[in-house]
Amino acid sequence: MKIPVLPAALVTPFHGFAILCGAGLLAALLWPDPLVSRVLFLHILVFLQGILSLQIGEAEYGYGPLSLRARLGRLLFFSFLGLALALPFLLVYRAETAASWPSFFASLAFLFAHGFGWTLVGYALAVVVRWEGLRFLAKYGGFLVVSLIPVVFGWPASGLTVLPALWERREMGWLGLALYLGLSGVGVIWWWRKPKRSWAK
Amino acid sequence: MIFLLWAFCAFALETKVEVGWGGQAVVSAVNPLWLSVSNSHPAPFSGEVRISGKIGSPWRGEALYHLKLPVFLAPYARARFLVPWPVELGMTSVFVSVFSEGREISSTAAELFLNPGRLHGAIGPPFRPAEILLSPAEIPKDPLLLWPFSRLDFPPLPQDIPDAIKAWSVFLGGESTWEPPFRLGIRPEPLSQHLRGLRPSPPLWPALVPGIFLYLLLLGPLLGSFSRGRAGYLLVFLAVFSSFALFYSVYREAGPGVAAYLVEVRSSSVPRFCLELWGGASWRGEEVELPGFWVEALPERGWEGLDLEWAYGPDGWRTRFSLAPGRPRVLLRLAPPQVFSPPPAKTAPPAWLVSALALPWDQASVEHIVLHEGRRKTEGFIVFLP
Repeated sequence: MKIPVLPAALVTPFHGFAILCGAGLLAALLWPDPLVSRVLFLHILVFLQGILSLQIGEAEYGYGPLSLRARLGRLLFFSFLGLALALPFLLVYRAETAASWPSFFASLAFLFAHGFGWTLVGYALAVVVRWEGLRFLAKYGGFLVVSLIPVVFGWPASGLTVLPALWERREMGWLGLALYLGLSGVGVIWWWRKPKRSWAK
Repeated sequence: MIFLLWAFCAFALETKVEVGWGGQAVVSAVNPLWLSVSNSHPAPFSGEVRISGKIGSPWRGEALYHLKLPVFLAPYARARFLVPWPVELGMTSVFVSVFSEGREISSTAAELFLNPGRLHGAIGPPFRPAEILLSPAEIPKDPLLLWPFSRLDFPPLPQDIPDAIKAWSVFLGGESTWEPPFRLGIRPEPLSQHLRGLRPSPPLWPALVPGIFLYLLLLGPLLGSFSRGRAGYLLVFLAVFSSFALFYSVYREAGPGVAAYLVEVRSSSVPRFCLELWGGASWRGEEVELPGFWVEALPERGWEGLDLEWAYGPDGWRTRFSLAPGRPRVLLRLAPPQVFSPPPAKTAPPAWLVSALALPWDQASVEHIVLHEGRRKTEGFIVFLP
């Protein structure tokens, strides 16, 4: 299997993501209140991952003509790469917050589904919304709404609520994991069945 | 026939419960709970009485207090038990269940008459005007049970003033005709702040900080080379750093789970009792069991997860509770002074202790000890006062 080449436009977003995650980890470990310290890095990570995933999706749309299968493979690989860059930080954070290994692996699965889901959203917005200003608003505005509104109501629909819940092995985490895995699965099925003419750039 | 006799016996046990002096349960204090159990059957009864009560509210969070007391009653016998029972806001009733061979055979509920303020009592005769009148024989041996009183009036007693009254006066701020050498005050905020900062062991900063910087420094050029089609270096680099992080994660898992403080305040004027404060913070969810009857000293705004369970056994009371990760708990008790081994060493009182306890520190001498119990490391401070 050939490893896809990273688009040059994504080097800085990936590196920036890693730098901010590292800074977030240090901030969380140094935070004086342990209750905040236990969730701060997870909030930072899932928020940054959402933004990175939107950028991956948008950049991937401009990467040139590819078959649907190759495009899907690239989106999956770059979602995985985003997770792999944060993996050392997550392993350290697991030790410092005494999260269990099942929680850790469930969180990894959620982060992968969350990242891939937002990658698809980024790609779809690039296809549908041609005007850049409107796309910017739809992309980041939509992400903020989906991330923050569920927090107010405590719904397991935002990474900000689901990831800490999975980390602490609360029931809401499993609901959120199922939701995001389901949405990612639906996204993949939809990808296979969509009209090829308009999407395969 | 014998079976029927036993079955009838199981349902024949009667329980009656009363909480608080004069039936008035004082909020935020340990109240006396009188439990009367009578066996109206010709067969002996052996079982357990469980008393439970809910505190808090759905919006402030709820916690459950649970007390287990083994009971053995001869045929047609009746027994009356006096146990300490902490009453907090939101506790409107207590539930009493009788268990025999692990099976619940009866249960009753008793409504509480809550009193928000502490009581004014008098010990007689001759009795003086007061809310609660006690005879000298009713003075409890456990000073915690006097907590509901803010003041106790009594004439010169025929014998020495009981140590329970002295301990109540010194450690629980009670006022009476006996003037204590000092009155202890607990300042919740400095104590809570100090405990919040407790970590069983800090992160391994000398490994962590250089590792993160090196990782981020090397990642930039490797991502650049990946965009030029050379993915191998980046993948090897990620595998190496993830392996280091995995090693760190597994290595740190073996560290201590709970960090705890034990503060013992002793007064030479109350030789039989001292006040003990146990404060602990956990790195992960932990179950803790302490010998003795401990009560919550620093109730937080939310009661969620602050359950307490007391069980009476051959060694007396034991208190069980859970520590949620990162959420410190402070418990207190009044108990006979402990004998520590190895003997503690003299030390200066730490700043957090001075700010947390209102005491005449200029007259105090402090000793320090470190106790290891399983995965728990407890730092002890013993404060001696006149």
